[in-house]
Amino acid sequence: MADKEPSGAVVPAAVAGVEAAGAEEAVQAVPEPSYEWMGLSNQWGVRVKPDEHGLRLSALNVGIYGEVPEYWDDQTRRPRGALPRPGTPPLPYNLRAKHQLWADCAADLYEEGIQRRWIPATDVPWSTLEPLPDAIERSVCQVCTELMQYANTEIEIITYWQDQMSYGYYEVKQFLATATFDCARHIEALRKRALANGGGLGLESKGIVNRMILESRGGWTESVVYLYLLRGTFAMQLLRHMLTSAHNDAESYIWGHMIQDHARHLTYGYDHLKYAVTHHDGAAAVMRTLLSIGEAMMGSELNDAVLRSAMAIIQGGGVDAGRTVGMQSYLHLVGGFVRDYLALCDWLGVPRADRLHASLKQYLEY
Amino acid sequence: MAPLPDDMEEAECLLCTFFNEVEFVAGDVPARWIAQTTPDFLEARHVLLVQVMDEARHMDVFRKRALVNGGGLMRMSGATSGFVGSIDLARDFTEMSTRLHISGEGAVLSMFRMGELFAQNEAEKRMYRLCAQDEARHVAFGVLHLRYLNAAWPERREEIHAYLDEAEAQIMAGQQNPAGTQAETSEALAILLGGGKQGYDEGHKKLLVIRRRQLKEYMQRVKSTGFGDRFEDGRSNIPAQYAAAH
Repeated sequence: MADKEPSGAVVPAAVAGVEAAGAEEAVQAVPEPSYEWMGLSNQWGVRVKPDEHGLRLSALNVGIYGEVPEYWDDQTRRPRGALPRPGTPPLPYNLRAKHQLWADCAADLYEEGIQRRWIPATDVPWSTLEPLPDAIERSVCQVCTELMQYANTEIEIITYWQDQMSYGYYEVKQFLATATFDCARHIEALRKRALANGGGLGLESKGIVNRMILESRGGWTESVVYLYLLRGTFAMQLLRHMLTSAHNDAESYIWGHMIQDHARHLTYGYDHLKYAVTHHDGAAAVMRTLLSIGEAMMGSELNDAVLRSAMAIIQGGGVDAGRTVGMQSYLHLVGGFVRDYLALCDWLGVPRADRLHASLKQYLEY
Repeated sequence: MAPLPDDMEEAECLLCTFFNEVEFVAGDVPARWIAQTTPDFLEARHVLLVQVMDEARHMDVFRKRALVNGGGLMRMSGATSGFVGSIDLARDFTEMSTRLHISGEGAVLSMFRMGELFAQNEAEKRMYRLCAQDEARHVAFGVLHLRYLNAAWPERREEIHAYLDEAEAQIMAGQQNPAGTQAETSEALAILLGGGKQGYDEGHKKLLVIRRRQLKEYMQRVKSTGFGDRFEDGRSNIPAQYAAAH
């Protein structure tokens, strides 16, 4: 707590080197500069140039600034390429191995995320919303509610890990900052859609997979397996089917732009997992274990009647057709997710076809 | 962007290295708190998520500026590591917001707003102007959060005064303020403000104007939150620092 200066006492000046004097006589002398910082650079004379897309992050990877080591042995906020300052205390940046977070596409995805922002308040043609039959409106609102929870989970797991990611791989930190911003925007757009057309928010889901994602505290890679390989691949199918079933331009805009954003997230996730598997011994085995657990959880969540029936009604155009055509379409959606998932696992070098959990395998017939 | 004299380019690059280093404190730390905030307060979470993205963009633009005009990154400052009262070490959201938004970003905002004085070309002027625009949102959140607490939780006033005590100890003397008395970036600023090393003294006079403005705007912000009594009852020595900074 600052002490109160007794009246009439000398008031210390804000600037070091000032002679103590009466307050009204204080003279601000210019302290002698040291200039000891001048000439201290790892690499000088750099002149990166913009291209037809502007000056993008990837263009900065020249010389020493582009050397991305396999291990970043620095627990400070030192920018990659800057000189260290001896004696700087460490901070808990625990993710310091490249295979723990890297994706080659991170810089480009960051630029795309920055450049392709959309504004739900003004870009979505809200005036095109028209009243829908009650069952369909409720179903759309329920799907919006579900997807908001997905986005919340994505925000929470990314932000949990973000401040543990070291500065050596700043491209990933920057990209993930845009990813969480995307998720906030999705929550905004989904909430607005749910409250703009005579409906309201629906039921909270049991959140089995949400909890699995949030409890994946072993490492960021482990979280990515659940967040993007399992949940994210399914979410993309949901979004695509919502787009094809859109009832108006507003919904088309929302689903289309969410797909665009989500595609970036998945690209990072898949690319990172590929990097982890190919650069770290044992990563594939860990993924196999995680997926054995995760598939069972995913299968359990897919059994939940709420999302299933909401999607069936949307895709069938009503309750009656939802029981037949709509449900068939939804089962085909889930079958598509499982097929995509298996193909991705093959690509990653973690094949699952022979080990796929029965609760997911059943959807392959659709 | 035309080449600058070496001393000016070094000064600008030091400033950019500093900002590239510290800007994402304001990304990492709010992110940590977002993960612990219930989705029920989605508006507050979303403001902080916007901040995280803004800070990523600031990291981006300052790194680009350092590498675009014949310079490079320089030595890191270590300004935000490990000292008592640092933003990282806050154990309460309001404590974090006071240190980050009111003190740290407040000082940087005042500086960015005066970017016309030390920017050397249109690219830099625009860079500082846009950064100021972002930073103003962050500071506004911090101010409004304290204002809300003052109205809704008056029993926390003494606690918040304690946070402000800690924050004020860092405003001029800490290394987080690039215009502060202990920061080597203040020498770089004086060079930029004076048009080169030969104009250092003149630049230093302008630096004092920036410091004075930082102190004045800090006091205005705190007064607007309802905690301005600290400047009248002698608790804070910021008024004395302001009076002396001329």
